[in-house]
Amino acid sequence: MHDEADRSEFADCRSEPAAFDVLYRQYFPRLYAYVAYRVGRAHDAEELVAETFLHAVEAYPRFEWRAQHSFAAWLFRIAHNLISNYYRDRRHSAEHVSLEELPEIAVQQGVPEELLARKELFAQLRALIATLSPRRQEVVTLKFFGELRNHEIAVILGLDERTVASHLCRGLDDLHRKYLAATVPASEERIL
Amino acid sequence: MSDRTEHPFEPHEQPVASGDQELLATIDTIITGRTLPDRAGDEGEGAHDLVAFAALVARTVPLADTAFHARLDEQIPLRLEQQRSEPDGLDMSVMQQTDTVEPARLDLDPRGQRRSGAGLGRAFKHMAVGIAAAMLFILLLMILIPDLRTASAAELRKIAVGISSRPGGVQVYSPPPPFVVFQLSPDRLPVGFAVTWNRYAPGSSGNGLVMTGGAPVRVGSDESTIHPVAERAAQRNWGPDPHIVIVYESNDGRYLILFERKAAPDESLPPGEPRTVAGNPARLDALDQGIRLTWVDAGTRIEIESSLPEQELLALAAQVKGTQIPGERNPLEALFMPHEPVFCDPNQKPPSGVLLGKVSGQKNRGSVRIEFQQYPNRPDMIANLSSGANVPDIRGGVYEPALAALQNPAIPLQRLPYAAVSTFSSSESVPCLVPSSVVKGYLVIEVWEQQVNIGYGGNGAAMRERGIQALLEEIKKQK
Repeated sequence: MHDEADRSEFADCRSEPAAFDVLYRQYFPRLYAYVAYRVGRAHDAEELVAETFLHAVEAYPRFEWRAQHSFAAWLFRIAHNLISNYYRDRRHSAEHVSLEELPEIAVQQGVPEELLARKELFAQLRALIATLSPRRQEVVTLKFFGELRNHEIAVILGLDERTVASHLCRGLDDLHRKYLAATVPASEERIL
Repeated sequence: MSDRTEHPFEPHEQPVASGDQELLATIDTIITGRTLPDRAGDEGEGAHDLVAFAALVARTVPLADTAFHARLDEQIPLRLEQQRSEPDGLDMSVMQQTDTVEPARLDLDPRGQRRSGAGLGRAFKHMAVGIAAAMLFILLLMILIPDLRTASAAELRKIAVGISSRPGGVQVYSPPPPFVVFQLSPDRLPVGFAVTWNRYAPGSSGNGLVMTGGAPVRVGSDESTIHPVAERAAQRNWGPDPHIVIVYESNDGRYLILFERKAAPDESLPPGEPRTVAGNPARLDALDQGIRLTWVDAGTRIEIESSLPEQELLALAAQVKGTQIPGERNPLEALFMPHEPVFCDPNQKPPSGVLLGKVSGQKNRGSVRIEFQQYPNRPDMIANLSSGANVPDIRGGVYEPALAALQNPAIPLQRLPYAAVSTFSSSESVPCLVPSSVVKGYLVIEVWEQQVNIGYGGNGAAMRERGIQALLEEIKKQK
């Protein structure tokens, strides 16, 4: 989320490819988290993340910095396209992903029970996100896990920034409703 | 929150309601800090509150497997170097289209390889500890000298030497890139042998880049080296041709030196008693303190010099084979190459790139690293020097400026956060890498065109004078 810093690093990349490392390290966790939410299976996420960075490495000499196109938007656009191909070519949309195949989830205390609970929560959130419209799935995952700004998401998805904001609010609210419906006992249900 | 109606995908949906601006700002706060704003109350399992729920989502972050992350860390610089040498990169259509993306693939996935054969999977598991230990030498030769990393990978593509095992055996070394050196597995070496020194030199066809690692340097007349064979090897002239040397030693004085270079078309073997190694004619000749076996396999001339008994040496030699045959990739490489060293604590891995920061507008000439090591049963502190250069003259281009900088008290030392920068260890019980307990401190000297930066860790700052002596010793060897 630091355009100017990215721009500086990217300028360095032109003359010194090792500078790409800085951007790679900055974006790796965010890109992985986004891709993992989109595809679920850790193995597939690893492949797609690796391919994304490979594309970025190969394409960066031709990348032209524009005010509205940050490096983040450019990188996540590559990942977004690869994920689209992943679902189109491999027909993975209906696949069930077991807990064992899911990636680990960040926890503050790595006790087994907490790890398992977080993984189950991840699986549940993924399932709920999958019920949103495709556009909102993208907006929510790019926002929460790619940590992108709304205007960057707008660039990736070809939307107006205000539309992204609208999708985000509605998508989150919808997700929340579904989460409560799935987890809160009927006697505790609230009127929203 | 008004209007919760589901909308389809038109690019210009109705704008966000004004009442949602606060929610948007809160989401940004949550994502930035991965924390729950004060007003949201308890996040809790139920996450009744929308903001609390947003925080719950934001904190459920998938983490990449550390081994995968480490492999990618290693692959990206190699790809960058390849990309630089192959300017026709991928077209930017990947940014515009979703229909034509057929990316090349990074060879990263050990699980995929395990799926390809249970036997290979078991073989890998059996050798994992040995591989993890051997990966130390990747660090020594590439990560250790990060500025040379990409350059060395490019050079490796130009040369044609290398050996690895036959299928089912144990590999030693297997270029081309990624540049990987493997220690012989313990079950193939006599107990107690370990790599003590190695050298990669592209020779006159390269740009003069030479990398060495692991050789202990005697500091002062009252100290001795704990690896005498390595020290002798470090002072030996190995010739101008591209070559690789790996020295193995045991604490009881036994040793093995592996030397390899590309064989000439009419390569002849030295005088000696005829032997056969894996079907190839070989020669065995006696040395003052051991024997030497020489043969040519698949275009690689291989010499093994050792104090081992002849039969043991022959058995070991039978596991070694030249492999640098364009287009015929050794299947074992696919198994071993993608595996990168796994650090128990990723924060203890020195990052790629220079450790002390880049100097704008200047090219890096090379680096020198001196680790000070204290072994349990030895009173002497060992100065372990490793270095690399991307200039032809390592003495004049790197060592001497580094020495001058160390001798200049006006140049400050920058503290580095790593417990070790060169020497890491693993064991059967701890199969990931941890900084070696023998490392008590280190100095890092990075030489640029018009500037030298010095860093230290542990008690390295107090060892500046020892570092000067170590460098003087190294310069003396170069003369």
